[in-house]
Amino acid sequence: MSKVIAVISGKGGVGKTTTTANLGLGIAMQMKQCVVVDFDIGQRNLDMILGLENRVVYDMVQVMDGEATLEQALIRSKANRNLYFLPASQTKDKSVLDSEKISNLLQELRKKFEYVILDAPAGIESGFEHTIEFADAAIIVVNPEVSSIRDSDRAIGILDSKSQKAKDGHEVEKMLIINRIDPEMVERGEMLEADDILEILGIELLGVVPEDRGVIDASNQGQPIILNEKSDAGKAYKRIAKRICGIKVAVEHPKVRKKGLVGKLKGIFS
Amino acid sequence: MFPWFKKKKSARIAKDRLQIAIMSDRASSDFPFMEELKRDIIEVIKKYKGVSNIEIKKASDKDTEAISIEVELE
Amino acid sequence: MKCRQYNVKVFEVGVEDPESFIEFIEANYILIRNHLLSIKGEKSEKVISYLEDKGLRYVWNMELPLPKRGVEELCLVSPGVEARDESRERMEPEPESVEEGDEEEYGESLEALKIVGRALRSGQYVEHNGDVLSTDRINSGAKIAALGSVVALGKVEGDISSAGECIIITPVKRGNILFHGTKIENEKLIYPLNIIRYRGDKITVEAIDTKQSKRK
Repeated sequence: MSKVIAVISGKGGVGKTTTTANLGLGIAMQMKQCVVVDFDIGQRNLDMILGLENRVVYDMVQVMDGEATLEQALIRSKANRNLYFLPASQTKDKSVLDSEKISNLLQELRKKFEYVILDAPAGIESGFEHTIEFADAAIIVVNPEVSSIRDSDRAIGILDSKSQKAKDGHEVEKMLIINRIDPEMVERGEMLEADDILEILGIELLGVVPEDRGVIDASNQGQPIILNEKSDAGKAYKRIAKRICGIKVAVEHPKVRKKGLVGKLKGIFS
Repeated sequence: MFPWFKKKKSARIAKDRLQIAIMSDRASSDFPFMEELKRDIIEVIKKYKGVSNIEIKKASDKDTEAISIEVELE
Repeated sequence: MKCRQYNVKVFEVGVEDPESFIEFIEANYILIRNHLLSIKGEKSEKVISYLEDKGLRYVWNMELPLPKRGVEELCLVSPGVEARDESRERMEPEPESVEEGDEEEYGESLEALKIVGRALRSGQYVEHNGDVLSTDRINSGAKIAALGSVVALGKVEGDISSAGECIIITPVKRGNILFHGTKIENEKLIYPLNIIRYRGDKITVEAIDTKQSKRK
């Protein structure tokens, strides 16, 4: 049974696209057939994070309109052969999204892939509503920061009322990823911690991803951070991907790194 | 070994990638005023005859920038 | 000719001076915005343009047919201004008593208790013509507006507005609590369970003792 998972956040800039790319790759690394779909019509981003921007020929709107076949539009990842990617249209805008066409597209994708991950646009308007409409589950990405949490709360509220599953009387499975947590700030009491966020949002915790400067470096190169064995964020994404595939892995809360002598010296000179 | 070299390199990579991506975005995008233009043209022609469809395409070549307009009358 | 018949809620109010009237409407806007305002008193340009701006519907000095039942005496008060209905006598309850002596202040036509059994998320809004009981959180950006009392047992970070007998609430750090149009300072909500109500003409915050107490 295929699973369609929408990655949402409410607020923009919290790491939806990065999370989608890395989880897609992580699931592929678990030997599952996975496709990541960029639902941010008119603002194509997933291609750049995956380093596949120069391979884009056709996009999902062209597929939905019948101008191209799914096979023509799907792009296979260089990093892992189990991962495919369907780009967003860069020229159209969100008004072209149509529920029936989306439903048909997702049906086609379900036949080919075990996991279909949808990268939602930021905000709570029609683009977002179309992305969640036929999702089996949603991953909510939040930063430990007040406006992100409030916007996510709003998005969850809409998810619970507007998705097709909700309309049929079922509850959409909701999972939380807390992204960009800084354990030192949490320790100093300057940043909300996971428990505070869970109390407010009231949904299951899927995982916690620490702040990691390597993420920008990874985007620059088009190599998702999960490929970096040394990165804490990469390791967190790996664990989360395993959890999505049903493997029980304990949630690790990022801890403050104890600084060795070299670390302390670096701190003095930086 | 020298960590700052690596950082400079990836920023450079990013810049190159972006330049290519943005140029290709600009080449394939419609003119920003496309929808308004369509509406205005339909308004004008409606004074004389009804319009059932209108298509505006880029018709540029390497020397000139042009658009072609096809109007289907009712 | 197309015609329809339907009921509309009417809010009858007297206007003395334009400024205090506007202040009053502003403070109680959420509760009366879907009512037809039946205004008695001297017409003024200032008030009319305010009402037009706010999209409020009104008739002026018109004798509307009163229904046989369902006329509620409401006590919406604007900040700082007292406008109690003197024709009704209030029974002052004993300060130590736990049971309230007053009944039926709002007439029979108030709607039943609304129970909100789940967390209210940002952007969600509960408006009710009666009492509201909320058992779970009220998140920042969520709102409860009730014509009756509000009892909120979960953590409140959003807004609550009540025009009823009382608000019962745990300590609030972030939200806005309005009782009969008056904002209650969050610092005053010091007890584990606070009850906001009128004692005579003043709004008071008292503790609700959650332990069983035996009367002497």
